[in-house]
Amino acid sequence: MNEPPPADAKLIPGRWGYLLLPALGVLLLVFVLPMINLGTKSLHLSTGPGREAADYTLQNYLAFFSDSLYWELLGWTSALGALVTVCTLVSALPLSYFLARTQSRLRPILLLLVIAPMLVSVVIRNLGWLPILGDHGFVNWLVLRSGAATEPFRLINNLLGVIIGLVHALLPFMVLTLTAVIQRIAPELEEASVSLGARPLATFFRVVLPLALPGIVAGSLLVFSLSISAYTTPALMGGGRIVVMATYIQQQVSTLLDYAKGATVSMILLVWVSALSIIALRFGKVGREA
Amino acid sequence: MSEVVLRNVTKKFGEHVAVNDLSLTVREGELVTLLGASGSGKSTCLRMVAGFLRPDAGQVFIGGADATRLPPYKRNTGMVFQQYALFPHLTVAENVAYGLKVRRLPKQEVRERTMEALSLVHLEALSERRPAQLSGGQKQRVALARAVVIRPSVLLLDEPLSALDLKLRGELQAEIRRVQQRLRITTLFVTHDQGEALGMSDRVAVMRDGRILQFDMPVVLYQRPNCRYVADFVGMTNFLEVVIRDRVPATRTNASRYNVALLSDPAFSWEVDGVEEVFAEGEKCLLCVRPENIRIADLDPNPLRVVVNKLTFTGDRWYVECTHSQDASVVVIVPGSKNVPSVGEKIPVSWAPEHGVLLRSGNARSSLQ
Repeated sequence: MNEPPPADAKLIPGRWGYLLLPALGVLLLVFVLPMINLGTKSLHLSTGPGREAADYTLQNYLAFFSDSLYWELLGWTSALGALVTVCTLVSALPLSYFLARTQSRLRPILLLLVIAPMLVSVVIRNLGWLPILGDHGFVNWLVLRSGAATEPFRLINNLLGVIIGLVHALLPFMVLTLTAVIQRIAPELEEASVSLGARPLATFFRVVLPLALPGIVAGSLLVFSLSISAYTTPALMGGGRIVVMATYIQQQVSTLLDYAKGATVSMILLVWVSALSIIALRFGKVGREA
Repeated sequence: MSEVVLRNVTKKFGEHVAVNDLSLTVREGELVTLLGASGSGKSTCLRMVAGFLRPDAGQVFIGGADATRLPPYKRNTGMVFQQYALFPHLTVAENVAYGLKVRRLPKQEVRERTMEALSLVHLEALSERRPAQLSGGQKQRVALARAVVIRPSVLLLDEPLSALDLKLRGELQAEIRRVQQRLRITTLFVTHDQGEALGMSDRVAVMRDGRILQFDMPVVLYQRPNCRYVADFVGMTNFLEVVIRDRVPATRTNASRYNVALLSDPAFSWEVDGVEEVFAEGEKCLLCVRPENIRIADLDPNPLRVVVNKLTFTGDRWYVECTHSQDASVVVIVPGSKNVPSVGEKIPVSWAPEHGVLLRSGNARSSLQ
């Protein structure tokens, strides 16, 4: 066969592979080594603040899985992640469909607007919500002025605030994934469906949605993993009242100096997120081939 | 009643006028082809009938009812696309059943009509396959079955054969025509291929710049084109610049017979019969003769003397390219089994008066129904 190699083949390092070395070196130094260090810490028992025993043990993991409190933490974090994922998916679908189908010259600008939240520091982004969602914020000012309610709504420093913050932060990931998938669905398929008598909404559910499914699964897994491992947004938007795995780890390590427990929960979160990411990548690939 | 009528329809895309005050009637059960080069507005017309585009002016009638403002899902049209547009996530049977399921018909009826439509295109055996497992020709037959199973008021075919190779194209052309005649579906067919247009249609509308130049039966279109563009676009033809000498008594009452002379060499002159238009003496015009109507013979009292300068053999025929002078050259088609003169040879060529068509040179005459 004289066909040119697929585009992906060019990404496989051949004789240019050594160009990756500097980046790999940095990653090894600042990412892999600390990770191994953290992993080792989870294998020692804590003997008091900032100290741990010398001998290796799996005791920390056994303790985690035998205590219902930790199962609750894992379950609760995952439930929050699922809720955020659903909210993100529902808000991203119409937007992605629009971005995939629009012929507007403004499309690049609209895409830039979608990516904009990613360009702002996570702390700034969350603080930015305060004048909007706070008790004296813009939304409540509107609500009180219009007389729709006499008391301000609690929109921040609680679960709702965390969800709003996470959906906002993760929307770009979902939108970009879905837009790419929907763009690959030929518009003639929708025209065929409509000409056969299906209304636009029926066409969306019968044709677009099934064909976008690989992207929906990939985007959802991505958003889910990012939301269960998020620390800053739950910490800032939850006002310290919302405990998820990431904030729990921070508490153990920084406040209680229980490195062993913090490391154990970190490793469990790491495994859980990695597993989901691998599945997400799989689906992403399937979507691209379809 | 499922006649389709476009009445004074105009469609603009920004400044560009894609369809310009066009009127067209497709009679019930008739297959009408819109034939034109890309950008002639033929697909725009089709998409206005389908409801994907709304005309800026004029009306679209389907089955006598004004459908101009009707959304596509209420028009009951069956459409076949160039790139098949089969639903990749559904099986062949599910694809065909799609329009029936959307109409919420009882399951039993859906199943029966689906199998009936599949047997119409001889694909019952492949009903459980996915579109990706089918060849191009099979895909387009599924698309055809999917379009006709809903018993559409009008069948819309948007260059359905263009993605197929030559041999399949012929087969599918026959298949579409057979299904269309069997079900007697009013059909609008869009193509840029004049062979397809002539071979399949009851009537053909030749389009250019958003207008219809000529709308008639294939035979008439071919034998009596009404302008240079149609003569050139439909089939191969020879044009000779001539000047009108005089009018001579006609053989038919509603047509005239003219005596014309070659503009560049008035020593050569011919009679042209069956001319429906009126020309003035001394008027310059184009004489159009199909290459298969030209004979290499001395039969005519005044044959054109030409020199052969190129021979092309295509199996069933020879193309003999000859020149009289710089301004006058003709191509002659000779059956492949016959002997042909050799290059450089001087030969006489002639044709019968009824085989010539006189056309006004320059601007194309806009057409009537």
